Amino acid sequence: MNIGAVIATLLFFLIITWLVIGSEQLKRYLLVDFLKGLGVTGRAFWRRKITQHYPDEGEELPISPRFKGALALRRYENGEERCIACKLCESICPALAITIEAEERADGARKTTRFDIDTFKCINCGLCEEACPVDSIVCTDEMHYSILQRGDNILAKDQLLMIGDMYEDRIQHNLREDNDG
Amino acid sequence: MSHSIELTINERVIVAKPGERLIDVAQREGIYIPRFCYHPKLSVVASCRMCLVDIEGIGKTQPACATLVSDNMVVKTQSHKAIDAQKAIMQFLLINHPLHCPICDQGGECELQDTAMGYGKGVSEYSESKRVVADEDLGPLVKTDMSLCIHCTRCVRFGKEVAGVPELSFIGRGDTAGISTYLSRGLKSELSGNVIDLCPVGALTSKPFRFKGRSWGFKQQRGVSSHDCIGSNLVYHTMAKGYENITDVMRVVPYTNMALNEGWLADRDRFSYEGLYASERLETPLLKEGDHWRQASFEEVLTLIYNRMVAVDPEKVGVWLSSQMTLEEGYLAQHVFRSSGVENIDHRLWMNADVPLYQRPSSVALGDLHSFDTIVLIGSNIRYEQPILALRLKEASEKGSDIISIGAIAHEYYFPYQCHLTQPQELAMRVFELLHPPVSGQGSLSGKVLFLLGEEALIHVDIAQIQAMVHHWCDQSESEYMLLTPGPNSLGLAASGCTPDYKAWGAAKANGLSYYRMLRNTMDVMWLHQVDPMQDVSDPKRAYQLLKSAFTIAVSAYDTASLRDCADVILPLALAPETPGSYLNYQGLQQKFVAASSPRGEAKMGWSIYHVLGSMLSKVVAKDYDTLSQDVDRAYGTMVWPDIEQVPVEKPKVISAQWMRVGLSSWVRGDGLVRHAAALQQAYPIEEFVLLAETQEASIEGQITNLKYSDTIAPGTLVYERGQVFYAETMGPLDDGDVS
Repeated sequence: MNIGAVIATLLFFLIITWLVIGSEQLKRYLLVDFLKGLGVTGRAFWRRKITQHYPDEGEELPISPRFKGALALRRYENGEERCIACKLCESICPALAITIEAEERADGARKTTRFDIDTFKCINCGLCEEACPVDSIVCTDEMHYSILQRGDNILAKDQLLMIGDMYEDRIQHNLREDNDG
Repeated sequence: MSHSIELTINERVIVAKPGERLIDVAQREGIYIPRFCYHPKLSVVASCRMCLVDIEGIGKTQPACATLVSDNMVVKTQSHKAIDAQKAIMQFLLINHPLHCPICDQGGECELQDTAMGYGKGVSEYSESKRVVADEDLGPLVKTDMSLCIHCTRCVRFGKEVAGVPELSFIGRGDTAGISTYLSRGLKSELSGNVIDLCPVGALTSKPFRFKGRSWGFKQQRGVSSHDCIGSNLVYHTMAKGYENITDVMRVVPYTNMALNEGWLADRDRFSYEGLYASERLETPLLKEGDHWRQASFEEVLTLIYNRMVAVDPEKVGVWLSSQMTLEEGYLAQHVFRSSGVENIDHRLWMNADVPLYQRPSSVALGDLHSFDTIVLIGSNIRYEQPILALRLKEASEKGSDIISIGAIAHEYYFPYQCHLTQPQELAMRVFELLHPPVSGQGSLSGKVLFLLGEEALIHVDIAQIQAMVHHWCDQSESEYMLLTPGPNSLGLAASGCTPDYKAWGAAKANGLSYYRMLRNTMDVMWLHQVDPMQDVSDPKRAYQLLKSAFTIAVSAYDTASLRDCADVILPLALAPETPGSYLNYQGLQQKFVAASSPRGEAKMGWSIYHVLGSMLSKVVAKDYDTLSQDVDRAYGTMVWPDIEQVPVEKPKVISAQWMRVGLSSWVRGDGLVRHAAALQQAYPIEEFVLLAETQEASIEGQITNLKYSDTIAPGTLVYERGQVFYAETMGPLDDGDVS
């Protein structure tokens, strides 16, 4: 039996099968999709990797300047805290995470005596940042923080100011970048 | 005047009476016209121009506050012309108004802020510098931010027209115009706090409340004034503090009750809430061991009290109650004591005589004072004793009532009055002479007369005679009289049986010792409820002796030195805003209120202390507060006041006593709460006088308050301030020589 007869016979059967069961079934029998998918895997296998294995590798994650991370209270350049106890953030907070008490400071300034943020309640929506008339409360781009013990979840005013001091450069950088971009 | 007219506002036909103001008619119909200077209780100046409306037929827009309605008037408040005018005025007012809203205490309840949102332009075309005005120190109660002032002059008109003390005025013109006291003397009026409510912007705000909260952050709770017998309605603004579920009163604002306080509030009611958070507040029970005091638990203290109470002879137990108690507390307390056999219960700690119960509700409504031809003040410093009533007296005086005052001191009032300066020894006689003039027809009282018996009369030795005379006189004419008792609820305590003469609700006579007689007896156990033996009684010296010799149990909100001197056990008490209850005002009107804030520390509400005590002594007590309150309501609703015991009226004699007291304490030292309110005490400090007289006991430096250099005092009068070392005398009018 020559090869031509074999191919002709095979073609004949294929045509008969295609006529009887249709092309979809035929594609299945012939593993066409499977081989296609395997082809994608094969191509990706040799391509350069973009996934970063956080936190094992990749310290520098690309972060949007608008990222809403840990909250902080900022100061003016002369060291005076910005917050004026207007309580707008407290009233806009949808999660009721902010607690403020205030009174007149000895020099007559309106300042808070208590400024607490309950990080368990906070949903990092950033509405407080929007409401603040003096850019005091801000969302930093910091996401590396966790609360390990109940009770530590309430960030008091001095802690928030400390976070603000630590991240002031990055806050300003992000603000600039956001405005320019 | 009875016919009505029709006018059209915004295409709506509205019926009004002639003479009504356009702004009032529109407000009644639900059409709001923005305004700053207009206030329904003050005169119209039309200075802010915010209420400009478009009236058909008149070329220019007209101020709605100064325009009276007329027939067939067609008014548009939303026409192009009116809106243009509103926007222009708003922009004009905001030229000099700093945009400090986030740090301004008025922010959130500011009429300027609201009106700018609703009627302003949204943008400013003004780029020049703003006016800055120096602040003036108006004393410890009112804080000024004069740059915020929009010159509506409401505060000026309030002083002139309502309070009668023109303290603030409008000085200067143009850019230098401003509100000032001119002499920088601060506000001294007993109603000065009302300018805080009146100011439409944040120029005048409350100093004790400064920066402490925001208007939107409070829970509002209705309350009743706990300092005078008028029962002003007020609203406690409370806020949760911290995470321990503690609610604090942040400020007090008036509630408009047209029958009582008309929206005004005395400083004493407005600022006394500070006393709740004084450092002297008692938070745990205290127990005396030897010479030392130690903190104890309620259980321990109540067991001790129980053991005493069951062992002692009930006739040797005395109970002094404060007239700041609520009706429910008073009823429960007397119920527990009476059912244990104790009959010596009294709350009239101001008495200097042994007089049967004389308090009765008055039928005079505050709004009807002008229907009396003559109003006679008998020994009353009404302006400070009952500031809200004094406002009504001023109103009555303006409407034509004559006011006569009989007493040892010619007080400085803001209404014209005829003064009969009287030595206190002769008070009863002078009242008799006024009622029954020796030469008939000469100087006699005519028409409808209202007698107001004030503190000097109530503490007078001859109070029984004075009241009998007045009562008898009123019986024979259509005249009325009113007892202005100290404390918010003395009438309530008289009703609920906290007196030695009658059991609860006047049901039956009782036979206990009155406060006056207890002082002159020896007692084994004394029970004090919110009574400071130095400050709250008429005779501290005798009270000291009595309390020191007895086993004294004090229920008190404050830990004071005099209590530590006299008492053996002190239980912490929750005061009026922290406890539910009701007060009876001078009319017998029962005003209920609920607890607005949380008690300090372990302090307990008065009713629960007596509830536990009653249960321990196996007495039948209501099972909870609601039941108690319902019982009290039912009993008071059906109560019939017993008739006043007729004392034969005879011509009184002059009292031979060398020394006579003419007053209790000053208006800001009448009860524990105000005594511990820091700003009030700072605003009305004790004015010190060294007086020249010598009493039988010793020569004493007295301190007088509520007494001004301009007040004239009858010769030989003894002026007395409770609690601040005792007797003092002035030999003739006070002049500068008497002042150290």
